[in-house]
Amino acid sequence: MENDSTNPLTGKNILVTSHLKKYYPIRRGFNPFSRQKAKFIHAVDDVSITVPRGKTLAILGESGCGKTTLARAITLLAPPTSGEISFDGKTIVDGKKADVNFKKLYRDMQMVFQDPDSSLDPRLKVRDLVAEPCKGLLGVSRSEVDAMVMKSLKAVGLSAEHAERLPAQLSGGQKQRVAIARAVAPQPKLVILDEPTSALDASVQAQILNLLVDLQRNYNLTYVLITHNISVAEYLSDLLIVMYAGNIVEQGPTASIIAKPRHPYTVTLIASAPIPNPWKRNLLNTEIKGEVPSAINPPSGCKFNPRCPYATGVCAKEDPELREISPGQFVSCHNVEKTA
Amino acid sequence: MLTADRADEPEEDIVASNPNRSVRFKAILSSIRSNKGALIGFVIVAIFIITSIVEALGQYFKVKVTPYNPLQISVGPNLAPPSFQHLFGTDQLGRDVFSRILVATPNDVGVSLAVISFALIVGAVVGCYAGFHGGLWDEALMRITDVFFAIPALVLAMAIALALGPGITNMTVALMVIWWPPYARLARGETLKIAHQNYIEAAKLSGSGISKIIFGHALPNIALTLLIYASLDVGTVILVYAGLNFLGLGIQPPHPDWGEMVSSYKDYILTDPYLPLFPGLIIALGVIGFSLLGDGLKDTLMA
Repeated sequence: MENDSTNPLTGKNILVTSHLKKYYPIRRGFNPFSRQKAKFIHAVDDVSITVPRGKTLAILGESGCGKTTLARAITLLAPPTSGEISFDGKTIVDGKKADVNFKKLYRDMQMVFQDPDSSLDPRLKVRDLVAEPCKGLLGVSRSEVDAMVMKSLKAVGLSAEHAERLPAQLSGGQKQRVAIARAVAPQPKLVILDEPTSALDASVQAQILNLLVDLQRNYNLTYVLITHNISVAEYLSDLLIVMYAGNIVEQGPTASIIAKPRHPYTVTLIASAPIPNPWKRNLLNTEIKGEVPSAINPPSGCKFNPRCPYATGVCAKEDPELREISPGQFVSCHNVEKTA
Repeated sequence: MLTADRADEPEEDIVASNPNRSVRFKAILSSIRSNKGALIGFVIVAIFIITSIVEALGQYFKVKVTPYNPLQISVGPNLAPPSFQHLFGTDQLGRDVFSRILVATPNDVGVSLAVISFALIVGAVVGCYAGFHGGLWDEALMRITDVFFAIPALVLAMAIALALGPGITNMTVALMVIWWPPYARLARGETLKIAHQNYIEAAKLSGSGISKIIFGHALPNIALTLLIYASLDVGTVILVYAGLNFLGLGIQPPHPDWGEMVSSYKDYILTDPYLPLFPGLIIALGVIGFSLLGDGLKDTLMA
């Protein structure tokens, strides 16, 4: 960490993906003689993102829109079907081939999973859980590992006494703190946060969010935040990407998208978020009709067109490109004028 | 929208219920004590294991630990009924049945435990690997286990024991060969249950390879289920082992074995029914003891 904070930025962006695709084949058992045409689930379809150093990029979308798959593709837990990923100035995936030293990659790229109950091995003590990435990735001595474990436990607000416990002997918030300690222990540059607070109680959520802000400042971290919660994205992120059915529909600075969403989907998504102040509540009926389209046979053209209130003939024919409609804000919609 | 004021009050601490292993072991013991069936099973298994250790040591150091020499004929009258001199009576050659049963104990218990241990280890590794690797490896390994399931276990064991020739070592090998497939299947199922848990993914992100994940995360997490299944299974091995001995595929006379004794005494069942009865009862007792203990362990550990 002492090096990282003074490290001259080798490039403005730490993570760049271009035309990333992740398709899952639908398997029906092992049958080499099957003549059936292969079908695929289009989980992530042509996604290009750019993450600047030291910033937080939030990826917002409803369940099943491909946000978690995108995170798994970036970490190579589920290597992408096609597309390119560059991380920290190096290309880690080019087309289909991933030619990468995983230990080196994971030293700089870590992930916090959604549910700490399943991301912590129930049979290991907190000490061993936090030590695992240090031992596996860094090749340092036992005493150094111990020091790193204690340091990162302290950084997430846990004490040495917690180190001897099993996950079952911790509360939900403490478990998520351990998961975060694990991710920051090897002193990575990029941390992917997959719904870091959605499995927690509301009171604990705020503590974890504040902890993440503190850690970002102290460790000079870059975050990619995966969330379905607009408030969490607004609180933590500098940049926002809204996904729908495996595509990016809108991207830009968080503040400007929340203030003035332009894609019809983003408009309804943000209007549907609960607002604490009853006087400011949006009383217009902004419900979207219909269901999220099938990821196996996505609709032609814009994937949102069957549900879009502004859809015209062109929407079912052509897939819209991302267009810059105001500085930094990109929208993929043929009829973006209608939401102005 | 989000009012995340710096709420830094400490979260409630969950008090550690079982802080260490010795306390957990004591908890298991006390819950066995409160479960009558498990207690009876525990006592029976303890008697069997202590007897077999004593007998094995006696045979090894050539110390007499049986009331009579089990192989010597005419230590008493032929076909004597049970008495204080001959607890289980004597057989048609005047050998002491109680001594013969005692001396066979280490073989029965030892073979059962060896077969179960082998099945447990091989099954766990094969199943775990198949479950993790998936795809072609999974299909290949599981279809191989299916081959074993297709043939009745006892028939296959008989065929293997016959091909290798009679004898205790060959029969142990035969039992090991037929015994691991159910364990592989169970281990695969349990592995599939945990394979997509995030801690396996987190381990990958920590630079762990497949063998480190299998031995460090998967096996410790599926071990409990496998061990409980194994403890319920020991009795079955005793039964099959006795069955093969009954058919004359194991230990050869004059060396005694429970199954072999039932077989050679069965002709006297009408005139001297206690002769085949006692070895049969001992087999039943062993099976019941291990099953009760396994059942109790299941209730305790799975709760």
